[in-house]
Amino acid sequence: MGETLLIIQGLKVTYSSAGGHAVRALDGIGLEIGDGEVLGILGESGSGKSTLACALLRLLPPNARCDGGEIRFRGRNLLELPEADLRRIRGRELSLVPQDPALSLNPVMTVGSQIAEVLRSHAPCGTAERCQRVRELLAQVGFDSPEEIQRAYPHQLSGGQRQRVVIAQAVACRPALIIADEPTSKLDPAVRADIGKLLSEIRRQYRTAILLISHDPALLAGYADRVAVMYAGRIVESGDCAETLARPLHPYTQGLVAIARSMSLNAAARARFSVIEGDSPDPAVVVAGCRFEPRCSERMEICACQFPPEVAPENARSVSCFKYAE
Amino acid sequence: MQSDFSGREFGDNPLLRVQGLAKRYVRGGLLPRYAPVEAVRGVDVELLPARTLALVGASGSGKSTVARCVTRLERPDSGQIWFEGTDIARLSSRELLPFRPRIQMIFQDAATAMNPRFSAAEVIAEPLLIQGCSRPVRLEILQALMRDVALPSEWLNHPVMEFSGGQRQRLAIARALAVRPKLLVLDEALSGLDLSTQAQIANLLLHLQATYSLTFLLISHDLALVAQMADAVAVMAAGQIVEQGQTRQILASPTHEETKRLLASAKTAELNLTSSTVACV
Amino acid sequence: MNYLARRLARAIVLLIAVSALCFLFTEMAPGSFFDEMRLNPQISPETIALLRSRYGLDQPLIVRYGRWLKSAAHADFGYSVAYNLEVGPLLRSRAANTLLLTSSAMLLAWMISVPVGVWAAARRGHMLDSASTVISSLLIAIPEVVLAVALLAIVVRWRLFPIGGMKSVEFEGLPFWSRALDLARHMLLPMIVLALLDSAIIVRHIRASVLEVLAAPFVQATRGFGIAPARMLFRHLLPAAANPAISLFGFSLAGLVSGSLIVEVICGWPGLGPLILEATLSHDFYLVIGGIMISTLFITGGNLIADVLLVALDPRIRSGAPDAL
Repeated sequence: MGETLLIIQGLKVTYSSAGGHAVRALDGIGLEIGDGEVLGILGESGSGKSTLACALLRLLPPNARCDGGEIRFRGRNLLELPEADLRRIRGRELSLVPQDPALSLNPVMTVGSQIAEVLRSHAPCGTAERCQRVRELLAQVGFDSPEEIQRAYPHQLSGGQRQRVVIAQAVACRPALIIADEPTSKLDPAVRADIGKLLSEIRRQYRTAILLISHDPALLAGYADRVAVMYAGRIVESGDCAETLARPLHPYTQGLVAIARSMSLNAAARARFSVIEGDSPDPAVVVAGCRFEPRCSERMEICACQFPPEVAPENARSVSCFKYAE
Repeated sequence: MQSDFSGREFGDNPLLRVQGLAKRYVRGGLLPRYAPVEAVRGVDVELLPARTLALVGASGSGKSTVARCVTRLERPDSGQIWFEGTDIARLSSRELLPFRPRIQMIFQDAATAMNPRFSAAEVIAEPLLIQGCSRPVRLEILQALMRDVALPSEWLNHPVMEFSGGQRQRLAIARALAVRPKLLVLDEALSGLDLSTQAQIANLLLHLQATYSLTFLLISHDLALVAQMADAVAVMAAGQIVEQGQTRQILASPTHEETKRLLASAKTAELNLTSSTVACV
Repeated sequence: MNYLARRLARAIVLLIAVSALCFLFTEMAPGSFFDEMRLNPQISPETIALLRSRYGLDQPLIVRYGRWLKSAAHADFGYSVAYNLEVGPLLRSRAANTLLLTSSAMLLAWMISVPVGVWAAARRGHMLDSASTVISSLLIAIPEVVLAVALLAIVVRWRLFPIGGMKSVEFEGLPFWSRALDLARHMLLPMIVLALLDSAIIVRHIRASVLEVLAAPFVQATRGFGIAPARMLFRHLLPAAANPAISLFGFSLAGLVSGSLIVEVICGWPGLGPLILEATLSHDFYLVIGGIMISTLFITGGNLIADVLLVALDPRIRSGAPDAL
């Protein structure tokens, strides 16, 4: 799988709210992505996954601060780059496919011109050539009549079509890494598979690495090589995707996978779904121990006092849980 | 195509019966080429009491429109909606008043379905205020409702802003329950929620259905959810019902193309998860 | 096209309705032009009756209205009793003066407001933003009359430039550039007053709509693709924020003829304002009607242009999208 493209170490991001309290959204994230690899991030709302996506491109809102760690992309620390250099990387070497396709496109510009803008910023060429390139991209992402779509406005397209347009923008300059933040969660299940296949196709054709963020284990199972599970701003488990989802180690991962499995087409009628008791943790509250502890069915006394260290109980898998720390 | 609900006891009258429902949205100006226009063309469904009927279909198939017509948020162009023996399709707003408490709706995005500055109590109590309950009675009812949806009653005075997405959906359910409805229309009420929240809310709904003998009209595009929550399912495409019947039957042996398509994508997702060695592309 | 035709038809109906109402109200108002003459013992009642019939003022209202409509269709708007001139040419020359003033003021107002509004939104919370909010609030709160008189007093006190009238006495004898300069100096005061008042409102609207766009998710997505900030602003942000500005522009156009009455009267600018005021006070029937009709024409025209611009420039409105403004 080639060299390591992205290494994140100890990344911490804090939001300061108007009331004055600081909220730690990311509490020491560490992960690696190699060339052409698909790394899945499994996490729910409140886990900090969207903050991670924004932090990688330094697109955080003004009230957020990176106060720790580094993000090494192709050897350079993104947190220390000046804005001008960062702009050259965004869209060209590192792209973001944001969460809601309905809101990610400019409503008063045609879809074709929005893709053209990305090309214009990084790969200057003549207008005719650019137009041609836009049509090629639209065809690549699966549109049958690129000429028509080129002239369409976002509100004239369906959700799946809009998502394809955003993906076209993201791959326009053949970036090395695409960050896909919940690319399918706002779409119909029927369309989800298409978008998943599209991303695979892009990865295959361009050897693009993808950071695939989702709360749906089924999506990651289909398309990710490795997976990292996020909970309350930290990575609690990581490893090979198929292995992790087949035999999860961390109680949270076990809970999520159990829920996903219980939502089966073959389940009995009125059967209750498997659940994880309790609510997602309040990021404003700081605790000393494991953040999953209140909801964990296997919690021990030590869990509330210290955060469990990361251990590697098996080859190429790691987990932060006292069950395995010995 | 009339549905056949085996398991229907003799004398078990449908709570809701829709016949020939039709609704069209007229657009002014140039008609856009790509935007789906939700229209309903001749829909017939039946809903037995204390059962769940699911309406599934892709976006733009008309399922939300049917939901809105049943709750009379919209007025259908033609057809009949028989609710407990009365046709509510053509009633005026005044005539509808006694029916409103009996049919309630839960929307997809709880965040936008309630005023974020209201306290939880104000949100849930709104329908009670309209009915003119006295204060102490109201407080008792509010506390009971919070218990029903598994939220601590101390949170009654917190503003809605402080609740998470899943918690707000519980508030929406509490609000709907406040007026003791017979029929609850769940319009994609579980879409857009995290997996664990979906599971919790789904279990809550199933529990409430058993406790209060509620009837559900579940609008969803998630077949796995439908498989477990619905007794009967109707598949919609382009404003019409293309297939309907018992959930078990339809999912086991679908006949229409659309049903097969929806089933296929649901199966793919499940297959990805359950196979222990995934061939990664 | 359909839309345009419908709007034009509605505009014409509106103009006719306004003219009918005008006739009605002017007729209902107490007094007439000849009241003063009646008090003068030297003028006999017969002379007055003769004058009245000459101007057709002895006919019943309906007949007068019918005749007026017919001649209005031929661009003949009757006779001014006071000036003894045709209404049409009289209005035209005065309207030209007003338009000169108001269009210069409108240009100045927009040239100030757009950059200030955009900058205030981009640097929200900054001193410039707070300053612009405070100043615009003050300007909106101060009545037009007060502002005009205050500035007038300052100009008179310090003899900054000539005030009153449009041209100096020696205007005709001057070469071209001196004439232009003379005109400009006379126009400066009323123009500044009008521009200040308009800017206050325009700045606030522009700031609000730019702020709204800046908070939209697509802005972050576009930044994520590395678009340069200057291009982001002009090509991506401003077009998305344009809708309220376009409506305001239409209102500005609408008010070109009717919005400057007070300022013209106070600063002595010989425009439509003082003329209509005078005509109303002296019951100069057809001049009043003519003046109101020209104002109405501009108002409906301005609104129509605003609507057409919105349809032409916003793709969401063009295709009737559900989330369009």
